Amino acid sequence: MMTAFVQGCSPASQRPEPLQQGLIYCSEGNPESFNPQLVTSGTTVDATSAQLYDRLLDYDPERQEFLPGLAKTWHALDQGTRYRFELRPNVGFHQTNWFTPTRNFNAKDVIFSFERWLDPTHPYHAIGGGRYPFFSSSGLRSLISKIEQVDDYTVDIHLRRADSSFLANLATDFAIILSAEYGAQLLQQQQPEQIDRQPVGTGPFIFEEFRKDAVVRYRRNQDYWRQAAAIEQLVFSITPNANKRMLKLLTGECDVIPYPLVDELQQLADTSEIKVTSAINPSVAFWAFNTERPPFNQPLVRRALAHAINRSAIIDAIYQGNARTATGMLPETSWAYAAQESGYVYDPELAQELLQQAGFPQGFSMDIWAMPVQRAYNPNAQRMAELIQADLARIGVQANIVSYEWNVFRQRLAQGEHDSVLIGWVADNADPDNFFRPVLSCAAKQSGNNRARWCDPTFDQLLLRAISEDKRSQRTELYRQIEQYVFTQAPLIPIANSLRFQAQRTDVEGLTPPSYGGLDFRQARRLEQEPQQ
Amino acid sequence: MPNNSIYYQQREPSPLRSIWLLMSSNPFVVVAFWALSIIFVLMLLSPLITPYDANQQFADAILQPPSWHNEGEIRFLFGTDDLGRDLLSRIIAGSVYSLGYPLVAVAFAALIGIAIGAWAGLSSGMRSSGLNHMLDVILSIPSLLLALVIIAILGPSLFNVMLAITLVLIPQFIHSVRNAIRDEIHKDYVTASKLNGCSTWYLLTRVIFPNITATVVMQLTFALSTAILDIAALGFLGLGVQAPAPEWGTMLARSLDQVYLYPWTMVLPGLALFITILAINVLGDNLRLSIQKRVEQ
Amino acid sequence: MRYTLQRLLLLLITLVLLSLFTFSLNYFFPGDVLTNMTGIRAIDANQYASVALERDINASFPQQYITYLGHILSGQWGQSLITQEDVFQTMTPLLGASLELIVLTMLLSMLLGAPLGIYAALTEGGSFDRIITGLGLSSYSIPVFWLAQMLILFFAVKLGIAPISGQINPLYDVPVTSGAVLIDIWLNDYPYPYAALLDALNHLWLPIIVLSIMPMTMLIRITRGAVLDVLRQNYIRAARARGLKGSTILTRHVLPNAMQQVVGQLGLLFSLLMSNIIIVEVIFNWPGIGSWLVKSIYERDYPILQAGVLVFATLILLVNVAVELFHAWRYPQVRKELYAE
Repeated sequence: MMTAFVQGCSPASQRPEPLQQGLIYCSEGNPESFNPQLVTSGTTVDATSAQLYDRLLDYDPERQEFLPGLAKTWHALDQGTRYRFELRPNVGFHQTNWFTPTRNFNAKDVIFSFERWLDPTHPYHAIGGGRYPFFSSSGLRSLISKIEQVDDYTVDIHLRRADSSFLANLATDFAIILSAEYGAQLLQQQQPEQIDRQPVGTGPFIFEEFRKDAVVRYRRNQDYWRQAAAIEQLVFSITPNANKRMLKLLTGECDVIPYPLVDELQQLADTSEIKVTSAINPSVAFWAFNTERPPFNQPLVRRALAHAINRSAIIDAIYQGNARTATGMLPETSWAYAAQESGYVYDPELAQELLQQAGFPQGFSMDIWAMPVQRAYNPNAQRMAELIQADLARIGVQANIVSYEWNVFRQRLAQGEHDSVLIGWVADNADPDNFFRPVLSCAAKQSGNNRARWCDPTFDQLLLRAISEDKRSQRTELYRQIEQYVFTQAPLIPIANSLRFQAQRTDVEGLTPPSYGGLDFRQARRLEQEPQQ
Repeated sequence: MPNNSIYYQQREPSPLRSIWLLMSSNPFVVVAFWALSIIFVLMLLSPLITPYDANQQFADAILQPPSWHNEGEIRFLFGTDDLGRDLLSRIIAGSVYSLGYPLVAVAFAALIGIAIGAWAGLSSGMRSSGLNHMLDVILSIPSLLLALVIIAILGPSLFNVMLAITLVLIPQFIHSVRNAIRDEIHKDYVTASKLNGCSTWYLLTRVIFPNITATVVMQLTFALSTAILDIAALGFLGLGVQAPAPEWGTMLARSLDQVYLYPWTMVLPGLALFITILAINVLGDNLRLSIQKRVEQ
Repeated sequence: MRYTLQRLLLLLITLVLLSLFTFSLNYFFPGDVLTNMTGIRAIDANQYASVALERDINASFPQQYITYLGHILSGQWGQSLITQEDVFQTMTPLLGASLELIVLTMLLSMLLGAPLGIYAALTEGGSFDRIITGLGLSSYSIPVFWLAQMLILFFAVKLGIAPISGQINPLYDVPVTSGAVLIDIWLNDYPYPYAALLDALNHLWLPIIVLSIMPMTMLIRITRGAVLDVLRQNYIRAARARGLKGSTILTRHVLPNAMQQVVGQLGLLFSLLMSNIIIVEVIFNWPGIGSWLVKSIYERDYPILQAGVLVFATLILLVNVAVELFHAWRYPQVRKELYAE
């Protein structure tokens, strides 16, 4: 320790103050909005939820229990159809250049935040597009019948029926609390859309600026109700190119990067400077067909394509062994996972036969939409698309690869402009239902989240039975049936389950990749000196 | 070799030939000429001579180093890319996109541009002069910018890229041909032909054109190098030829994902691009110098 | 005077044509014309109706164009389709960032290029001269995206003496006013001026070198050619014969006359530079007009795209005319050319 200090020329001790007290996270894309209620993209959640806002309650994945957040305590009443939340007093909202709070957080803010997505007549409901994909596809919107204020620090939420996933959904990154006072101020100024662009929350960081394609800048909330963040300044430096991100980590221009090219980084990096961490982040990468468009409205065609692609070659080339071939939607880590047969076998001849049966002996031409960014479940969708393109060429199907900037990509997907898309899903919570309902149900189709645009009453019926069942063994059996049904219908082809990786410089600590939901920088800090060998 | 002609003949070589005689004294020009010829022949033969299909993926040989490297294999002379495709095959096949298509674009642009340029050169007065000043201005806007705008309208695809490049090259041809003709048209030999009562068509094709061929050829080489660079730049930006076509700029762009560990995936296509453009530029530049010299002689 | 007026008139006509072009782009781009023009989508019914009125979208084309021109001139460039931010306000700091690169690149190219070109000419046939002439064509033939990547790999990754991308370490929260980071540090009294300045310079030098290689070698060639040209003239021989000193001949006779040719080519150099800056900004994540333009194509953000084209082309035209006017003012003999026909 002493020698490190005396040497004095180690870069860490010479770093100018702003560098020493700040942290650069090189994120993979622009946040779509600064309000996670409006989105499902992990990029936006990482950049906003845990930094700007708090939720009523939090979830600790290790101990598998709920922790108090803005609600101190909560009870289930009326056989689980009413929940009462006691709110935390003395929690202040951010003071910024554009808003000075005159009162602390109270029940009004909870009502305001919930009604924004619950109540279609709420003045803020239509702001920012009027879509609340998480709340629609998770069924939360149809579950909650009413939210009412009992007193300033007590709120009741009435449910239409008892639902064991309710608290889990409230603890996700999407159920954040906005400031009702700020909302009123903006309405008065007639610029309500600013609420999602110049955000105000109660979280550990205060929004400072956002420059598209460059940076998002936060500074520490000194008066945070829990222990304040360790770093003075938090910067998201937007770096979509994975290779550039890795090189910038090596040169020290980034302190932490998500979704590193694990294999290459391990070959390159000096382990005293860079370390790679990972978390089991239940996720699945899949290839979804737009089942509304011919010829993908025929299950036969979809199955033919499923047999045409060599998934184990994809796993080798794209994930370099850091993933396993998905046998179904559920990853092995889920309690409802049941060992299946290996899924679709790679068999181009069978594929050709199926195509012939479906009436396409000559094949056809189609688009594959490939995400322009890395996700935890897919480090390189473009490359994956090229592998699939070559596989498809073998059965006479000519594929064009289509890509747009990430936010445009998602908008167009939601409008169903694609033939097929390489995308995936990361679980928001531990319930197996989360792998089906937000991805493939009719409700998910309406919210634009169902990339297969698949709406099948049989499937929805099965899902409903599974969610209303209590016993795990029976639920497991039902999910096995559901997997089987998805397998035969093939609205999408599961490709891989992988870990979520993150790489960082070793002088940063307190930031681990999350198991569920987005990143939280509150504990992140920079060590005083670079550790000496 | 005995000379069959018994009379002494002073043979004046054609303008193009005399320029080539001047140029070929420069060894660089000869090298460039041969390099370009070889690339051109490779391009023509590319379907026959590529060792593998350009899109064939060898799952067992992903990112194989070139054969001169310790870990390289002789079956992949230049190594393989991130999907296990043979780089040599891709570079050879890519010459169709990176040299062949620019050639076609230049040919079309030249046809249209020369026609308009000739018309503008022969017609006199305000009309022509106004056109000229306008062209001066348009030409100061980089062709890449115009191509980008056209791609933004039409969307990226091989055909649209060709269309864009052809369109942006036309003004250059109009400009140079028009100026060349205007330089020639007042010379005595043209006036003499005119007085002889030659038709305008004859004047243009038989009298003036042989004397501006060199300028046109120079403009062709210039346009070709522009076309190659622009197509590659569009490919690099992901707005040009789309995957899996082995266009050199596109190959360069996707090599960036692994460039630090596997530099050959970037170096080789870049080198192919560089050598091709350099050869063309050396020829074009020396052509210009030789024209100058010939004029001075 | 007549020359200046004529040039300015031509510039004006070209700018009008340019605006006509960007105006017509709204019709060429896919989608709704008014949305392409203003960035307001038809879903937003109230606002859409009000801008439709404001833009005279139902009037005849000439009327529409005149309204469009009015909006362009008053800085009402609509809003981005993606971020809904005002295009003109977004544009100004980006222009600053691009100009920072452009000005520094031009300065470096001229300060190094001209003297080296003169030196090469004076030592014609020497080893330096031959290296320069050899390198000239090569540097002109290197695809700039290839060169940039190789230099990044070498200087930033291998040697670690330059950052890979960006304008400044983002932890220096220098407020963006002009967009040119060197000026912003000075303008805003940033609390750590020296550290920030050093960091900014560290980010600047690599893109500037990449950008200036081509204009610099071209400038060397042009200068060399021009000086050699002048040296062959009779009046130089005459000056020599009169026994003037070599240095006097050079500074009084050769350079002024050679520079005339060089200045005439600056516009061309600038156009080349602008072509390269588009790609270099993308590679270095430089927050300038070039990368803005390319991103807008990826994102189909048509209001930004036409703004980018407009700014880019206007800049090029202005510089070209400025160079010509300077050229004509400094060397009156070139003015004749315009009337030659």
